[in-house]
Amino acid sequence: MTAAQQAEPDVEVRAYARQVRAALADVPTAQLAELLDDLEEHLVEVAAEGGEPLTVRLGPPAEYAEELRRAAGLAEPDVPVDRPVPGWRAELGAGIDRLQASPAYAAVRDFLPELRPAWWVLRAWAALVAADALLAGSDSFPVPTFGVGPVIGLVLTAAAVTWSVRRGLRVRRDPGLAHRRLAVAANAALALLALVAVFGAGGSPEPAMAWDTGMPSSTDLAHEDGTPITNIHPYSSTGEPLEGVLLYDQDGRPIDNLAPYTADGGEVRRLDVEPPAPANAFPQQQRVLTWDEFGREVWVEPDSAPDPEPAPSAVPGEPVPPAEVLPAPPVEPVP
Amino acid sequence: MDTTQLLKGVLDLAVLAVLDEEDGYGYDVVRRLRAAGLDDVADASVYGTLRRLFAAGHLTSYVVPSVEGPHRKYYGLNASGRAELEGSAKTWSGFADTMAALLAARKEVAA
Repeated sequence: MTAAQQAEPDVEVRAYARQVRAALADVPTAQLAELLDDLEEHLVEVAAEGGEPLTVRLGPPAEYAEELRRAAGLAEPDVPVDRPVPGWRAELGAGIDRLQASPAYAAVRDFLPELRPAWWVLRAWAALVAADALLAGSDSFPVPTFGVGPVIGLVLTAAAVTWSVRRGLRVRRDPGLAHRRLAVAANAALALLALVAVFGAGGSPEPAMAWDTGMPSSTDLAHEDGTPITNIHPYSSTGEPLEGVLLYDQDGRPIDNLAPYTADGGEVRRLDVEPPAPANAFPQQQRVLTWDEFGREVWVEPDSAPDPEPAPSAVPGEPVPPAEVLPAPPVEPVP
Repeated sequence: MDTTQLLKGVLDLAVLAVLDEEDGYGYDVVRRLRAAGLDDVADASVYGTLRRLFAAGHLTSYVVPSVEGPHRKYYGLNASGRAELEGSAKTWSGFADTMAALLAARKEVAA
């Protein structure tokens, strides 16, 4: 038994009962009421025994419904096609039932009340930002200034937050205050304002923040593990290192987007060669700028022909055998 | 042989017999039938059978409030139900005897 079933047996029961009723939608109302009089009680009792879900213990709801119909001696549905097709409301209801039966829903639902104090703070702030924008027409964000200054804004924000939290605590003690329509509507409006404030901030003329970490950009060549590819050393199938190989992509565009930094952060600089080679000629003559233990810049010339790691598919040095041509499967004679 | 097929023909009689011992509500009847050895009996079949027997006038029904659980709809036999049980029981006994005799005769032939 899952935690969700333990916590919410009635959700499972309601979902099952709803589907049984849906399958018997063609039965006249009076007969149906009589037929399903203690359906819920039955399901609750079966569910209370624990063990497998109702759909396993009793079979699918539609089968339960048909068994009930047959045993009760009711007419089979004349034409199955004529049965009312479950509308979007029924679909939605079934979807909500499934959602509410999921453990994830139970976890979120149990956790949400813990976030209430955060909402009390947020709604106070959202109200002030809204008032600021409407009354003073200022677009100060995130601290409302009311055109006077951030001090006034901060004092007002503190006061509003205090009031909002105290109000929230009072409602928590006396839940009768909570479900007044006005309170619900006000909270919903403030939630909307908070959203507008947050998204509006994205469009406000704030200095755009940019990060230059010196890390290779996503358009530079890199391995799947993120290691930048700073050079390419082509080999022939017999393991001979090749020089001056020009690489192009599928569209014939030269491949020259090597990573400008090594994994250690060293700057890679291409050396000029004679005669001048195109940017997509490999391997490249390079120097890498790194730092010694005293923090001084040091130029290092990387290995001009590193030992290639054996790759699982094709290893330089071992000619790749041509793919075997499989004989065509024998054709069965048609009788 | 599939006992669920056999059960369909005699479920009315089985339910009437169980209720003749003592009144019961739907799931209680299911449990007692299973305890008696009818393991394959389906919940929905029993509930449907109870409804049909009630609609046919063979059963009385009354609701028993329960403190900790749901209220339960109990069923019991009335005069018509007892007469139905008597008649069906005779029919079944005759049928069962006939089948038993048929199978016994086949055994003697084989032996």
